[in-house]
Amino acid sequence: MTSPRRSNEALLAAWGERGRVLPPHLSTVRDTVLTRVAQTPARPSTPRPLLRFPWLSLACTGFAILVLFIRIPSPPLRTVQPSAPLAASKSALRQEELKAPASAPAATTIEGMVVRCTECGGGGFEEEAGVEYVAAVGLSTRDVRETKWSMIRYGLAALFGIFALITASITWTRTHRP
Amino acid sequence: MRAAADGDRDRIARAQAGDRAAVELLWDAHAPKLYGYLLHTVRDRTLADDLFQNTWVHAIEALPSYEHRDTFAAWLIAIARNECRQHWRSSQRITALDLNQHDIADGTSAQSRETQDAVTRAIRTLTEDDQELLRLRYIVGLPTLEIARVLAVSPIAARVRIHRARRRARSAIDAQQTL
Repeated sequence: MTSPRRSNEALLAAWGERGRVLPPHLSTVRDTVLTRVAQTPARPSTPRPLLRFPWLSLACTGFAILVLFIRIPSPPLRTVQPSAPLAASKSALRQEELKAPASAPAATTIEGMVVRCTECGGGGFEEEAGVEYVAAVGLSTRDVRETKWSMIRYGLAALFGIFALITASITWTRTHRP
Repeated sequence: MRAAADGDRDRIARAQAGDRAAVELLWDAHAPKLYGYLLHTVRDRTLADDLFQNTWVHAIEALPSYEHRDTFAAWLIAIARNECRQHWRSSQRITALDLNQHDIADGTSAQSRETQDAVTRAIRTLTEDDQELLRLRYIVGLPTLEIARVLAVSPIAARVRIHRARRRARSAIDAQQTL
């Protein structure tokens, strides 16, 4: 006495077995295939051009790492002498933070100073009258410039990284496909 | 299964060297499964014939670059699936499988044939994914690992899907038999 489950399993197996019948008229296909064997030269498998992709992927990874760790020295900082109108236009900034250290000469330079925007409290570059002011929290002009360069570097590294991932996935897909 | 794979390995090596007899052996071992798979997939005898020929021709052309990553059966089925995909891209036509048309004069009794037709009808009620799993399992006879590779899923996912497809197939067969 077989269980219904086993009986159905046997029916599935019989269905599969029955599906494997090759009609006799396909002997012509067999002849075609065998003729094709004679025509196909026996040759060692040639490396597929897509196998270049691993090298592309590796190169992209290398570029990403290179860009991430490369350091270009910042250009020398400019000495800025704020004029009276310019200082007036900077009313949004806290005056005490625009002041140079006590030891600074009368012609105050503001480069490298840490200043803060009183309105937003944030930082960034502010171009005015050809003078580059830095409004940042706890950063010098040099820091901000380096931060800007770092952003570019991270962007490039991410770009190369993404490209490396794409080429690696294409390689994987192509090499695992018959 | 392992012995068959080892036998295939030897035949493939010889076929890659241009041995016609080895290709004949590969044909004898795999052609019925491949044809059955294609016929149950496209449900059209003429189309199945065409795809069957294209699959073999492409397989023979690609044989020198075959690298034994999958079994030969799984590799052949992967080529067949690509052929089906290419066909469906150009034509969305799927015709109903005529059960009588597929019947081969194999001496089965009318009752047995009726039961088999009921199984085919039951399987037709399943989703295309389930049908594909059942074709790969029962017609082609691929093990779970090879099915996973053909379908590009993890072996665990393949095992679960096969289990569910079989359960649904059994239910569908029960439903057909109670009709």
